[in-house]
Amino acid sequence: MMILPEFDLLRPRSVDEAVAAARRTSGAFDYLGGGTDLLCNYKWGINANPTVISLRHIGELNERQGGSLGGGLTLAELEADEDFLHDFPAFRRTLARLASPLIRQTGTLAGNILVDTRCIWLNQSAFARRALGNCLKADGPECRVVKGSTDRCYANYSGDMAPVFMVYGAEIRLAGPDGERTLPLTEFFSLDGRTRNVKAPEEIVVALDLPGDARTLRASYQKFRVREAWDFPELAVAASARMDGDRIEELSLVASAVASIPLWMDEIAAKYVGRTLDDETIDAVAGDMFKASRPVRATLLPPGYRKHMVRVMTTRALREIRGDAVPVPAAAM
Amino acid sequence: MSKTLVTLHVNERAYEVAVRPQDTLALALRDGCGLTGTKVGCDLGTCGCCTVLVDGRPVLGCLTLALEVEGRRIETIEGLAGAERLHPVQKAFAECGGSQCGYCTPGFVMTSVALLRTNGAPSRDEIKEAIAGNLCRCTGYAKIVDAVEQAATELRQAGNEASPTTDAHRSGGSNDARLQGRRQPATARR
Ligand SMILES: Cc1cc2nc3c(=O)[nH]c(=O)nc-3n(C[C@H](O)[C@H](O)[C@H](O)COP(=O)(O)OP(=O)(O)OC[C@H]3O[C@@H](n4cnc5c(N)ncnc54)[C@H](O)[C@@H]3O)c2cc1C
Ligand code: SF4
Ligand code: FES
Ligand code: FES
Repeated sequence: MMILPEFDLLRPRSVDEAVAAARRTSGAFDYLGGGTDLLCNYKWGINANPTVISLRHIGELNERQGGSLGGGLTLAELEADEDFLHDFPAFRRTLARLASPLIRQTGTLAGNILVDTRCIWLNQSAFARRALGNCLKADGPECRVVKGSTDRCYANYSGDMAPVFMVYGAEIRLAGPDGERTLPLTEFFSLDGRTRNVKAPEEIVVALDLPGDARTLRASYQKFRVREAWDFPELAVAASARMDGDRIEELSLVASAVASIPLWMDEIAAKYVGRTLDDETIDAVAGDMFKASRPVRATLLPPGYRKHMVRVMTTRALREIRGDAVPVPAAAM
Repeated sequence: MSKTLVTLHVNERAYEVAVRPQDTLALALRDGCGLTGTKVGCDLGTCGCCTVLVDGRPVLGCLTLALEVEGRRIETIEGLAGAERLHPVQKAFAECGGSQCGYCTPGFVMTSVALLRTNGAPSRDEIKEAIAGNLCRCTGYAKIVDAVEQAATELRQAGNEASPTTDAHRSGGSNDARLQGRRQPATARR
């Protein structure tokens, strides 16, 4: 049995109450969504705090209106929402291949966007970590993956929903001590496996907003994982395009799970606007994505192989957007 | 941290249990309510051994805090069988060889019960998808899928699988009926 450390559990009923409670802790707290990520880290003894503030009893986080999705909605609720899946079809397979059906019952949208970065040196018991030597992210002086790094953690971003929201042009809505603010999801993440994003600790992810014109985009999410029943991505590629016949009018690309954040490849995408989506273009985009991805040894599979698979997954994503049939591993065993 | 006395509604019965904020539902059920049918395997969300139903949905008892489900309707493996008869899903697991060492079985059964309440005639692929979060090291899964298919057929023949207390198969007298109205305080022993 894994023992959870001691903590105080607060259960506020509104966003304002939760933010006020967070402020009273002087930063020594964590918000709790479904708990499917946080409680695992607590059981491993990774950066646990003495106060946990549950967001599960706040009705306003569960609101859903068109493309505006409350951060407290569970992944299972999104998976059951046929209108949402009809409008944004790339989420259908993303959700079906995200963790396991049991985890999706409680895992929330906000918790998924904010899922902690993962690393083979870190996601171990405290005993194993001590034996290996603690690292920068939890109680140690330097990174074990990129030796000598004392100011940046290279743990892997492993959330499946953010890359897809990014290529659909979503915004993230935050509420904190200074009120609400909204920013493009592409500007939300910041490149360090410890801090991960620009959110202030007390800020709550209230919702993800998808723009109305995202409904006319063609999008694809290609995830590569070790165990098809429930695993985190070893790498993933999300792409969306607006097509005029076979000509690319708009293109968005994300390489995910190859760095501490989902990588927004806007410069690569811009190069190909106006081009025909033929095999030659697809090969060129895939080659650029391959070159721009530099995974490190923070996950199970070797970085060289994951880098190679970025090319394969980009090719599949663009072919799917073009309307080709692409291989899709079954979700279950 | 100090313990709080909470009422957990499990299998249509109220249990008064003293829990600490960090106690999981699996722990509170096993140690607090004495309902040890719910198993704990990985304790990290991976194996599904600890699956119980909360308001009819299958959830992982090892990643749910007990305090978070205060006042919700919880169902565990102990609530399924009647006094003399197994629930059709349990019966099918026994008959098809869907259970060997048995450690994963309560989790599989609870996940399957939840599936069959929403989909009375699942395909083999739908069954595989529904149980993808439950791991079994003994059976090789084929017999588990057989069992869920057989249970689905039996439930369709017997009419709809309804809520535990109203199930047709329970007419022999269910645990719930027997215990209804009785309230037994229990205290977590940790
Ligand atoms: C076996 C297993 C397999 C998994 N596989 C996958 C996978 O394939 N893909 C994947 O993406 N994830 C996977 N996960 C991780 C996790 O289950 C999901 O990412 C899930 O969506 C997390 O949501 P949650 O609500 O449970 O998050 P929590 O654990 O509650 O929270 C995660 C983080 O978000 C913060 N948080 C939560 N909600 C808010 C909010 N509204 N505002 C501010 N902060 C908030 C918490 O403080 C915490 O830091 C897996 C987990 C397990 C145990
Ligand atoms: S990338 Fe480095 S600092 Fe980050 S968790 Fe892994 S070993 Fe630790
Ligand atoms: S014990 Fe809960 S999932 Fe393994
Ligand atoms: S019967 Fe032994 S683990 Fe499933």
